[in-house]
Amino acid sequence: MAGTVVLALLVVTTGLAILCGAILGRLSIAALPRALGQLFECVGISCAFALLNLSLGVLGVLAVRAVLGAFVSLYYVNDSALIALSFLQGVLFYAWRVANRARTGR
Amino acid sequence: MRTHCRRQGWDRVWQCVGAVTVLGYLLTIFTPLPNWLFDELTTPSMVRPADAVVVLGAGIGEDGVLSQDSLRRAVQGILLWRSHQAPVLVFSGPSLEQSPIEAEVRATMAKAFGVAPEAIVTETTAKTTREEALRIGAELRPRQARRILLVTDSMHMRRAQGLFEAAGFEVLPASADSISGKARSPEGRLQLLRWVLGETVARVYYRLAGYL
Repeated sequence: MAGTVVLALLVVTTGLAILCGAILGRLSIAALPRALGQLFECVGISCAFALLNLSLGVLGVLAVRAVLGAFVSLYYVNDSALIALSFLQGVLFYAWRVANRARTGR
Repeated sequence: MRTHCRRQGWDRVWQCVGAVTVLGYLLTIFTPLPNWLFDELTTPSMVRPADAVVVLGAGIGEDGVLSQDSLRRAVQGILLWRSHQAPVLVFSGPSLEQSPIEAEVRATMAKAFGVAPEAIVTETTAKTTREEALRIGAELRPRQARRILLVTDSMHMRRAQGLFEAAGFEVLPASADSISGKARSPEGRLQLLRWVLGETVARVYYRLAGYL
């Protein structure tokens, strides 16, 4: 039931946003697939940051255990805040690439 | 020209990774995929009389508040002892970052719920599942305890069971979960997948390290 509610909300608000964008903002529907591609690009970069953060975290914890002999829990790396922060890193990196393209034309 | 092509190549890579991630996310929250993975990776409980109930650690806050998992496992251990499944109740759990000792907080709770103080054993130094198996093993062997009821969450059970069996025990799983394997809400399924992934990484690490 909760899944249906979430899915319905998603469909309604996305539909409304597309409608408002097309009518009020005069955005082209033909540009939507390109926008979807950019969304995927942004998510892909965020995913890379998440993997990098997790891998580096695990290696760091194991290195501290091996070199210093101190106990650091691997569960510290398993923090959901890290995923949200990785997403922010991905958005920033993506925006930087876009801004650089706009500035240099490449 | 070359820079442009290289950039387009990377754009394509990120787009593919992103598309797969979004698809995976949608499959996770809107389909029973995490529930199926949970069922595949867990061991069902098998409660029978044993020589000891062993309750593994699961974390405690600096203010002495037991984590959800720790509390649920402790309650499961107390219920098993009170239903006369075993004469000894072992609580594991160290002090983390200036916190009180988890095993002792649970032991105090167990006494308040009517568990006889002489039946309680605490292991207060083990910080990993492997250390728990080794140290609790050393504690229980002189007591001639051979068959144990192991209390942990169902996802962690298979790894913990392997370690305790390697330490010479016959293990009867008695799971205590704070997340339902039958979760159907998007948030519940997302938590379930995170749990599955975390434990999968832990199992791979234990195998690579030769602990299992």
